[in-house]
Amino acid sequence: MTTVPRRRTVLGAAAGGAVVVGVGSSAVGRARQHAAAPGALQDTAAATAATAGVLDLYVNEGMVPMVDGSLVYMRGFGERPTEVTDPAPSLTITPQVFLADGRLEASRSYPLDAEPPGDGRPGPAGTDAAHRGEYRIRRAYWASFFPRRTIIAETGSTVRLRVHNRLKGPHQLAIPDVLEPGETLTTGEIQPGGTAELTFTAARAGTYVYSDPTNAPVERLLGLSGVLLVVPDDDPWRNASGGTEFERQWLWLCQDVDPVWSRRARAGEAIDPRATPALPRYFMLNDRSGFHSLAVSMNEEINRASEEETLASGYPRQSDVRNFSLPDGQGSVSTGQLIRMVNLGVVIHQMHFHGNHVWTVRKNAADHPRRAAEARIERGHPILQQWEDVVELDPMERKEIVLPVKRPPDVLDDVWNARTEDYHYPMHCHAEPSQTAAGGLYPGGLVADWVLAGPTSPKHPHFVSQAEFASNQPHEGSPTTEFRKRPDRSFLRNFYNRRLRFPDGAEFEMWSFEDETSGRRFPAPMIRINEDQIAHVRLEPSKRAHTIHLHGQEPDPRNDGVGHTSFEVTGSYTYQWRPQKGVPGDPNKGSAGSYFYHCHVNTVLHVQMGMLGPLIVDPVVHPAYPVSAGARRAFVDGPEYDIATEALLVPFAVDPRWHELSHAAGLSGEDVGLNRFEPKNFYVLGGVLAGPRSVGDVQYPKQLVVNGPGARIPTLLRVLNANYFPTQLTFLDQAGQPVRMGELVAHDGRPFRDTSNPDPAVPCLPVHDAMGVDASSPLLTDMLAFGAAERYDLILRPPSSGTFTARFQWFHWATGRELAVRTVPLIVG
Amino acid sequence: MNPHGVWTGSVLVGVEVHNGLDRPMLFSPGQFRLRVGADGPTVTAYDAARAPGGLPARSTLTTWVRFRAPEDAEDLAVEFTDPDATDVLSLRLGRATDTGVAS
Repeated sequence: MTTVPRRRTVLGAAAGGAVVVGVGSSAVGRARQHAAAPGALQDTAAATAATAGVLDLYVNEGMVPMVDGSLVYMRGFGERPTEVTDPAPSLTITPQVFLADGRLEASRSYPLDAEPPGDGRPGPAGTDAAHRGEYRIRRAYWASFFPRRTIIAETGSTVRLRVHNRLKGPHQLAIPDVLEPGETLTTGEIQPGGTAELTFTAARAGTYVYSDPTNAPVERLLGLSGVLLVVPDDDPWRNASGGTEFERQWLWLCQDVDPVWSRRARAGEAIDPRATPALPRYFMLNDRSGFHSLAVSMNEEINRASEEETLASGYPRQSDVRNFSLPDGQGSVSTGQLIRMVNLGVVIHQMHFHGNHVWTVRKNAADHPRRAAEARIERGHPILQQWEDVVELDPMERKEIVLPVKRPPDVLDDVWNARTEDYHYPMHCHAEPSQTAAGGLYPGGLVADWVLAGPTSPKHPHFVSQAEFASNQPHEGSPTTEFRKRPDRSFLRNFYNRRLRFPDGAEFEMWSFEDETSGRRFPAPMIRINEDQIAHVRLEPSKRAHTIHLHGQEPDPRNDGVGHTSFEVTGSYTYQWRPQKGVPGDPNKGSAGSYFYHCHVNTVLHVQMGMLGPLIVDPVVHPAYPVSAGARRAFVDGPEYDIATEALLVPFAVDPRWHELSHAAGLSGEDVGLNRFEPKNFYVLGGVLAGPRSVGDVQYPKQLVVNGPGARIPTLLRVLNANYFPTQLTFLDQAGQPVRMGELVAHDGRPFRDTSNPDPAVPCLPVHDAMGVDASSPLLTDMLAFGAAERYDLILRPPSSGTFTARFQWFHWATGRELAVRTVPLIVG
Repeated sequence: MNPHGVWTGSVLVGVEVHNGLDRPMLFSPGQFRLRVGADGPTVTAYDAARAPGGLPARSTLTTWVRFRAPEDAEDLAVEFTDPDATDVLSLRLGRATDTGVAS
């Protein structure tokens, strides 16, 4: 788990006096407190007279309906004083904008004078004559909608907050990092009935959390949190002056709700977050979950708000991650949409996008570097602008990513050219317990769609409740594969269920896939194809409905295998796609790398039950990058590796209770506890990929053979996190000391490249090559942290022969507590 | 067609909710859950006649809540969670109209 270090706290809390707390050269914070007179708590029931340019925030409490209709006690920074008994308590604020000219304006959209996009979707400037089915976007034109809890401050503006504590305990409002990284600006503790003012100059463009750090994370989880965006006043269509340009931006607040903590807080109990850790039962995105977040409820007001604030949407365009401001000569540029993701909750979220990979540009208000020489590893995470299809988001972390809103790279031309309507793709957290509500109701948690706009936008069914949505996912018998082609590679995947014996002797009921020869074993057999090949996978789901989602591959929605954006399959269906071909030096092209496939029906359960298998895409061979005998390349211009020793390691964990559940557990609305993943058995699955599979029920390595420093070609190790909790891989030497021997070359099926040169004519070299022949890669690491559904490809560079160790550790997603350790010997010859 | 095997039974419960307080309060049909079997799970409402909203002081509303349930389910009970109460109110079905579900 990543935590932001706090070097010191900036606090002005001298009794009754104003304390100037100067930090940095341009930012000044000022806090002023007013103690409450005896009995003053009652007096604050009336709203304080408004002061021009001052934003009043009221620490309130009240009951809030969750997506299942249950009422949960919450607290929040509201915009008017309300009582706990108020049927409509004020626990959040409508978005507010501090302007550089000194004004404070309430507005759901920004820039104030820009046109808000209808339904949140920016219209195009026109069609792109050079690219069929694509459009030119309007540059610096559309406003963006923001969710409740948002405060926007233009750089140079003076932010004036006046916080009124209307509750019975002390509270405060704090904003880490906004003045300088590692520093926290705070009102200081505000006593019941008291008021504190906080004034500072917004200087550092970025995304910041404001919250009550009292007894962290308790008050934050109870709802006392929101987001401050500092935006460049001179260029509102970039995330910072000279920063990343975007068409429009989105702000996603990830929230977790623990009703037990809420009940105890309401009763006035003290909550020790270490003694009684949070157990979230609801998971929200912008204060909405499930069918509300997906805008398919019967409540048009909720649907509209979600479309405007949450469900990213735009017309397909050419984008270029080397330079998002690359002019197209017709007044348009090559950018996508910026999404600021903020984790206000307590669990680690794994934000997975279907349809497009996303380009990560910033974390915690600091740009990721583009230059290979500036790349680094921080606590096991590579820091470099990069493609991802799963973005890890730790508590209190803020990441800014660009959704390119481009043609799905793996869709067939005929399918794309015949497109007549919107393509809907899911975005969901792949730490799958977060996809539940009230212990079931999949998909009822932290979920959104994003929409690749098409010529028409057919209406989708709406639902009266989350229970109706969960139990009525669209399904078809044996739908047609549109524009079916003769495949270069075809695979069969039959559903099976069987009790399987695991390496520790435990047996569990497992559901998975088999082919004609694999037998009923786990993980399901590998799908391995080449870039540019047309691939088919025929699913035979047996009695029930299932799908195959080709995680990280990006075809059209019919071939994406998600019920609510296409269909579930009861008869059979042949998925068809064509992995995009790589081009040397082009960071926008290519799909070679590590993936996996899994069922996307009641996913939280079906993936844990074993309905997953590895999927690997090998690169095309480019004449400039020939391949030695016995070798492959990791990607088109990537390093060669030894086919004979290539390996895949898959950390997996089993919660035995879940393996007693039925196919549709939770879908009828019953609470089956799918928000509680409590693994008891931990395994490192997989093994060497060449040659026959091992003969047991479950494939796992007893050891791996790794090529040594004298070998002609190194070994490639692929890793996939197939469980729901974060894992950490550490390489150890014979003495048990960490050793840097894993060079990260790709993540989520995309290479790490130096993209510092914005000129499209200049190749973007892989990181290792960009460093020069004799230099080691800055992404050579002894440790790799990777969460649910993430994949990494590593070239192994052991310093000597001998026996090394790959140590895997599992950590709890909320507490960060180590749950288990497993090791795999690495025999270096 | 029911490929998932979701529950096909339906339990429609008519309820009367009385706000005996001298102030309005928030009421949500989701405060009702169906318990299937004495030790079985509770179930989220599938449909309801009204959305969450205010219930005026000293007023009574009559409404209904519908749940999915197994076709052969026995020993059903409706539970009501009142945020101001410490206990969950449980009503065996068949007697649901015997008493108001007051808070």
